[in-house]
Amino acid sequence: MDSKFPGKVLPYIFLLPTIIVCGMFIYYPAAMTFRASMYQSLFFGAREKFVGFQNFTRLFTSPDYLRSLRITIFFAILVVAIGLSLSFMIAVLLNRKLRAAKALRISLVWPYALSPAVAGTIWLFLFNPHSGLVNYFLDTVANIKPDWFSNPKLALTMLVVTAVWNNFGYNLVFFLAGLQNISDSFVEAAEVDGAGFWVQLRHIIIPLISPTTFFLLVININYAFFDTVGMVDVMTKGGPANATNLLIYQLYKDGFQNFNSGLAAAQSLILFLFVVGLTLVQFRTTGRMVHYGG
Amino acid sequence: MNFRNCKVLGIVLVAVLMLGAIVSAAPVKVTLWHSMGGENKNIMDGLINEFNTTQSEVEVQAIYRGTYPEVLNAAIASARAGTAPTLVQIYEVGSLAAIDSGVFVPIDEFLTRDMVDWSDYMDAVFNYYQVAGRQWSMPFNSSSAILYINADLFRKAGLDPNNPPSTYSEIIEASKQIVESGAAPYGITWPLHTWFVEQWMAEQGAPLVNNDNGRSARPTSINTDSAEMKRIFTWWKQLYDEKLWINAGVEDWDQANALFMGQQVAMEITSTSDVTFLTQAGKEAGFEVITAQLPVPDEVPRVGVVPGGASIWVVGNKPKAESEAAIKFLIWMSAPEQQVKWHKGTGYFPIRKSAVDLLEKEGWFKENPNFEVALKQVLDTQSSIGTQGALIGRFQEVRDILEEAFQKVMGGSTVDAALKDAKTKIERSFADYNSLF
Repeated sequence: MDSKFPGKVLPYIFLLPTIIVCGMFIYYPAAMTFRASMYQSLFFGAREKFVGFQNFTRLFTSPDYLRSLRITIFFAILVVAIGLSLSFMIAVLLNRKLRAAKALRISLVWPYALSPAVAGTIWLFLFNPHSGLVNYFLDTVANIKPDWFSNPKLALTMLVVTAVWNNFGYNLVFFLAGLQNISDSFVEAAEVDGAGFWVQLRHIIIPLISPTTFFLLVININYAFFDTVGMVDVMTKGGPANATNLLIYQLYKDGFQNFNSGLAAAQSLILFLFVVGLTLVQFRTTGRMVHYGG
Repeated sequence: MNFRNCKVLGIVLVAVLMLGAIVSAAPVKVTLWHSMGGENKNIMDGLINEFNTTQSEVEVQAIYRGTYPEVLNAAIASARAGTAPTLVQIYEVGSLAAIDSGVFVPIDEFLTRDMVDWSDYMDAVFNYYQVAGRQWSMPFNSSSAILYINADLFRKAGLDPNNPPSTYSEIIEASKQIVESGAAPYGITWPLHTWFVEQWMAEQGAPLVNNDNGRSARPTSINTDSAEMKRIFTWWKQLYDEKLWINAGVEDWDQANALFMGQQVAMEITSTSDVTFLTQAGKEAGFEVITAQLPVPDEVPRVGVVPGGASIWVVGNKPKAESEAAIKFLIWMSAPEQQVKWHKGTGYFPIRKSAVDLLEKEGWFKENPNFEVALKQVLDTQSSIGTQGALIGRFQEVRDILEEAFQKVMGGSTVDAALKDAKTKIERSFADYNSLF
């Protein structure tokens, strides 16, 4: 049976709404960003001058920018690795038949309802070196009161904790859904065969949940690269001495504070290509290990 | 056409005419974007509400749009999109960006000499917003940096709060005494903010940038390698190294106030716009707050401060009626009576001489000496290139870079190296900016 679409024009008419929306909100801005990256500009293009690739050469020869790049990669690795493993472990524990499972789930998921800026504000209070709960606790237990804002390593630690906490609920929901989709028959069969908890985890649960893990990996990398700008702004403003100046925050500062949209456009292109590249590599490598269906 | 139709037509005509009358009597709407948060927002809303209810020609709608840099940015962006408000409150250092953006018109285009008496405005304030012979905006909230003292902690440390430290070395000595006596864990705090550096440059009569502090032409170099700048950084570094100054965070005004109110420090340097708030907060927390002049370097005579704060700018390309209504509001807002209320409610100093007279007549400063210090510091300011304040297009970037420089110093870099690095970055930013004009 050969079911062909009638006419040559009709399919395009059906596609038109999507094309218009994508064109207006994705392709046109992307093209404008590409154009803007070739210009020195002020006040959102009110004044501009063509400079070719100067914005890019500037960025790649700037020690500050390269340092931000390294910090961002390090930050992303930490956020993704800690975030995913922690939420996976908790999800496995929560997936058992617990009495307070529902209440626990809700209380663990709610941080996701907060925007990164709000999460930043909350942790800012907790990490306050002089009146925050974290230091109060550390002072009582270990008699130390670290200055989370003035030490580069501590400041980055603080951001990682906040970012992991903020995105924890999201990861948990997906892991829980993934775990509940694993048919009981596999687990029961394994139990009959005498497989213990760790063996089940390694040979059944982790392979079967790999599509979810893979999806979360991509989402979390995007989160670490793009969604953390509000958090940084609230908590450290990129300091101390640029130690937490993530790429996206530098972009925000150049674009929306220094009126330098050309440089910001170049940065957003770099960031875009970087994340696209990373995602493609993941599909090529990690993606092969993923089992769909089962 | 029969009689019936005529009647209907007549009714419609009358209705249209009446509607027209109502429309023309409706007040002209004026929108204002501002950055006054917290308690100061309530005072601002109160004033605007009073204006709206006491006359029927103009209706002002005020919207809080975030911090100063955010408001400036939002205003320029919205003007590009054609959705700008009528009036925008812009912080002092945003002035050159506001002018260069082409979004605003100088206020003297609407204000003739008989509408406002500029000679009644404080010289320091008036001078700041005077660029290339034109009055660009209506001064509104002006402030400078002063020293706040927790008098109870001072006495506890064996210091005399009525003889406050006034120089850099006195601040160090007093802080040492506070910490050693155990009165407070740290001596002093202020937000890690370049604004204070700007104030201390002015106190030494030194311009921040070249070309007459950016007043005769857009600046091309910054005086971070000057003796004045090094003096500031060296002293600040010593306070930090000896654990006498505590870092309240980058541009974090609230945190600095929290440290002072939490009695973690016995002194705070911050804006005069917090006089009302901190005096009151001290009272509630059970300690006495005394204000003193901004401490200055030992070696140089006190020249004066730059009027910080903000002014209100008029957006161009608006209907004439709207702009004129906005001007009416601005004249009212900067009138002595309103300035008196604004000053009492916030601590921003009154920008008009007649407002100061009003306050003196009712004995306000005698009863509230904390406010007098703030005002006196501005009145004593000598007119110079340094105290007129710098004009820089990307001023916020300069502030960022200098804040980063001090953070590097805290991380172990030398003052010279950090300032040299800052100079290179800032001057490249100047060159980029200037190349677009």
